[in-house]
Amino acid sequence: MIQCNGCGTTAFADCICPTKGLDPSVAGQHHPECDFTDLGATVTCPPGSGCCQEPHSHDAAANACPGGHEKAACPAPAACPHWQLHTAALAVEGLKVPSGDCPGGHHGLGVKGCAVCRPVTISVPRSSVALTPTTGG
Amino acid sequence: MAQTAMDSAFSTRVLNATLPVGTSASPGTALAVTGVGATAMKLKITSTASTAGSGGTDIGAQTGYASGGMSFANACAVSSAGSSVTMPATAAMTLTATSTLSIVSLEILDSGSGRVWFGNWTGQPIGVAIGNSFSAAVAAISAGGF
Repeated sequence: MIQCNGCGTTAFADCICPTKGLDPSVAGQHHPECDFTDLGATVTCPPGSGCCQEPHSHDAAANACPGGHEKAACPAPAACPHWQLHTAALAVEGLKVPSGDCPGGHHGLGVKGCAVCRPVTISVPRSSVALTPTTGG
Repeated sequence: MAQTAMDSAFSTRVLNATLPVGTSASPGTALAVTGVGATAMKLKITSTASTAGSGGTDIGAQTGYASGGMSFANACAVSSAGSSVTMPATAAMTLTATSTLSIVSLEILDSGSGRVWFGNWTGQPIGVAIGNSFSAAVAAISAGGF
């Protein structure tokens, strides 16, 4: 189960790899169409929830976060992925796009008011992992 | 899904402790030599697959997870009449990623951090982005069946 830490919206992931002829334990990754390829994308927070509504991979955005810019100038103003995503989203919506590089002071993991990171909790449910010695084990 | 799940070295200790391999064909004492103690056992989470012969690669320190494993906070219900033991006991065990994680296997470590049980998480590899949490619900893991 995947749950948004912000609004509580939940989703359930299903691994469809076997139906695609893929064994993820051997391949080391899931099929591109499998929920497990991007678990954060399984949760869709409703409009008005206050959670990020940008049409991007929240996991990818979070992993790209350079961090360390709370109450400070952005450490990567010219390459800040969040600023690029933010301004691109504004442009798509036909809204005014601020000029210049990322001003910092916002957008970052754990930064109050951050509209980019949308943390979720991935829960392994009850009775999902059974450890049973087998012959020859 | 049931899995081959006992570390081979620990399996040897169990066999030697419960079969007539000791002096005068008495049970051996290998099980009591190491692996017991008063400190809590740990749940180790790895980014590579654990096998009977070797452990996986620890995911390293994260928020709520110390390098080498997170301690079980509560005692689990004892096995009765051969029933499996389920864990964690009374509360979920949760970590928050401070680095990009790909979670594959779990290991149950004894009080001396020796590997006892191992297995793969269902759905592995499980990607956990920075800032996201990974949680094992109460009784998510069961061990037994022998």
